[in-house]
Amino acid sequence: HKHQHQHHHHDTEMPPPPPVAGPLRSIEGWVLFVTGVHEEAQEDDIRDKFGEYGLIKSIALNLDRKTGQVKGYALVEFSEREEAQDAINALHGTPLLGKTIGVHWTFCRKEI
Amino acid sequence: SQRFGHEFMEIEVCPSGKLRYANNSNYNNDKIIRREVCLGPAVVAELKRIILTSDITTVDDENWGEPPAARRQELEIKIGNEHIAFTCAEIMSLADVQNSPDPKGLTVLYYLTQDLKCFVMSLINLHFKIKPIPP
Repeated sequence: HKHQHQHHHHDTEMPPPPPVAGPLRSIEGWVLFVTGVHEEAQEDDIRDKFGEYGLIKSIALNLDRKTGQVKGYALVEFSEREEAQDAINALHGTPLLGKTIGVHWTFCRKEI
Repeated sequence: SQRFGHEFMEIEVCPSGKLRYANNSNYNNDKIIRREVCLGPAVVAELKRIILTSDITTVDDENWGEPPAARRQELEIKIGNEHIAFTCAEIMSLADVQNSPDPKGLTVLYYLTQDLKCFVMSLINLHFKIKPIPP
């Protein structure tokens, strides 16, 4: 039941995700690391963006312990590698609440 | 680090991206849980960003005095050529720092420690799906 693919404006100054040795599957799925998350972002904002690419199994959106606002990163877990890869391809370098996010594999198979 | 039947948590992130985590929780019959996983470069970069934006480099523990052997916390950071280390008595809450010789510096350390623990616990919990250990 995938929605029609939106056209996302990719920030061309944003470098592509650096290559990793090979993404590593976590115990229940594939975890993406999102950087540049706007300090007022809510879990629903993440869910709306990423949910287009597959069923989201988990989201972690941690707060800055001093300010109570979003610290700046999030973790998003998908069941399938393809779903996670689709999200990387579509969303890396695109805006979330006006701020450019990076979307990366969180874990990798060997040390860099 | 020494154990006196209390909880301890040890976290190490190597420049290669390897994350090592150990926790001795009283909730688990004193068994030590050890986990290791390699982090992608973006994760390591974000960790550095969190550390560098915390103002920890402006903090100096010269006047803190020697903490007790039990219930102490140590934070050691090596980024590039910079290497800084802090040792202090375990900060249970912000109220603890108000009567200290350096409330401002200890407050920075307190919040950075919280943010780092939060960061690492999210990674460990999502990757291994173990029961979350109370902070």
